[in-house]
Amino acid sequence: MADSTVEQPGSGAPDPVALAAMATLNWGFRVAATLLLIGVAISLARQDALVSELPTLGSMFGEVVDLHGSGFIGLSIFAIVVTPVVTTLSIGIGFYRAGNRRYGAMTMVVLLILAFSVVWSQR
Amino acid sequence: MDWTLAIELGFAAAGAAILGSMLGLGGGVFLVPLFTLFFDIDPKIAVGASAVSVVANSIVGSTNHLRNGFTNLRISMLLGIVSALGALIGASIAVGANTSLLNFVFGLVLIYASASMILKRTNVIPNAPPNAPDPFELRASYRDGTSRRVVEYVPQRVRSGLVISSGAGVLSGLLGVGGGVVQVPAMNIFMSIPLKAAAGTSSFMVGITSVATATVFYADGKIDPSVVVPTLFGIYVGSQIGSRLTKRVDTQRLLLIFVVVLGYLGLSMLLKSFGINLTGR
Repeated sequence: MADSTVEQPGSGAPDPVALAAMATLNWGFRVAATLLLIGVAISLARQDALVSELPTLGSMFGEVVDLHGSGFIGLSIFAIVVTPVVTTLSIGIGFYRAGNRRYGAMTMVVLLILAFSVVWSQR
Repeated sequence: MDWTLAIELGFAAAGAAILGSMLGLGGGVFLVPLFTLFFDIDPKIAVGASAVSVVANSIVGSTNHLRNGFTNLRISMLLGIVSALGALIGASIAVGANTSLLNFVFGLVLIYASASMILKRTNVIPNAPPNAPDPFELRASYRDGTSRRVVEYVPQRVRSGLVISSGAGVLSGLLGVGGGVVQVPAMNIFMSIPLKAAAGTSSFMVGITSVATATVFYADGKIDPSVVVPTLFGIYVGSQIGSRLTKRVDTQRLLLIFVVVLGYLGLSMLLKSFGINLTGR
């Protein structure tokens, strides 16, 4: 099977799958960190204590609209957890684009397991 | 939760991350016992916070490893299937388990980690030759900055790797630790993967595994933002300090101290599972 995803020894050519994964991880970190900092800043400014229960995704958006720190904090935790899931998706797409169906399929299995766990947590 | 306790938890998490990153164990190994023993936090809440922080640490660490070419994404995906399934099973057991049982298992793992550091293998595992059979198409290479040469390797004994990864996944789900403490030596010793590639690949894999753990704990209401938030700040700051200290300090000299700390925490967790509190909490 042709495998263009492997960096050729000594070539130093960047691996497009790794580049896609890096970009997704970087964006995930930036989004999560920004939401977390905003959430903590709002909570401190409003002198709210940190909540001890993570709301559901739906109510997180409502709290964000109402400018409650807990909504931003909840979304940041959600962003952290979802980042590896989205990264896995980008890796799977990268494998398929590179013609590596075998590892594209394996990545989709990992994605299914993670997606199942995320959906299950929201039930 | 008041902010004073949050700040205390943040400092404790930073300490755990400094120790963890200097030893290459990850912060979770120290985090859960510190929270459980010294702050009297429910072990399941501590495990949930640890799982989220492991994901965050993996996001940051994996970017560096990918940039350096150390991460073999095909191994990550192949082993990720069984480790994520293992984590789902482990976490499902953990949320329903008695907290004494969790403390007991954690105590055993800490004592194992302490003992394994004393008996730490120092021999170099030879890589399989580049022309070795590669039925899973896992051959990869990276440029080693230290030796300034390209290291090419072909992972071996993949089936053994799958079995060990599933076990690491269960452990990760049960205890909220990343599982790197099991994965990295297993990849190096059993699969003949060079240590840098094993560490880079494991760094990404533990994120995937811990997502499965975190979601199960979330579904059970064990993700407590008042514990998670200070943990995230502490782990991030602590791992940055730890990675800088690692370059300056001879960690071998500190090994004995860490072995004693790990052993003490392990013993404390074991005794706590029998209702005996060494820490007075």
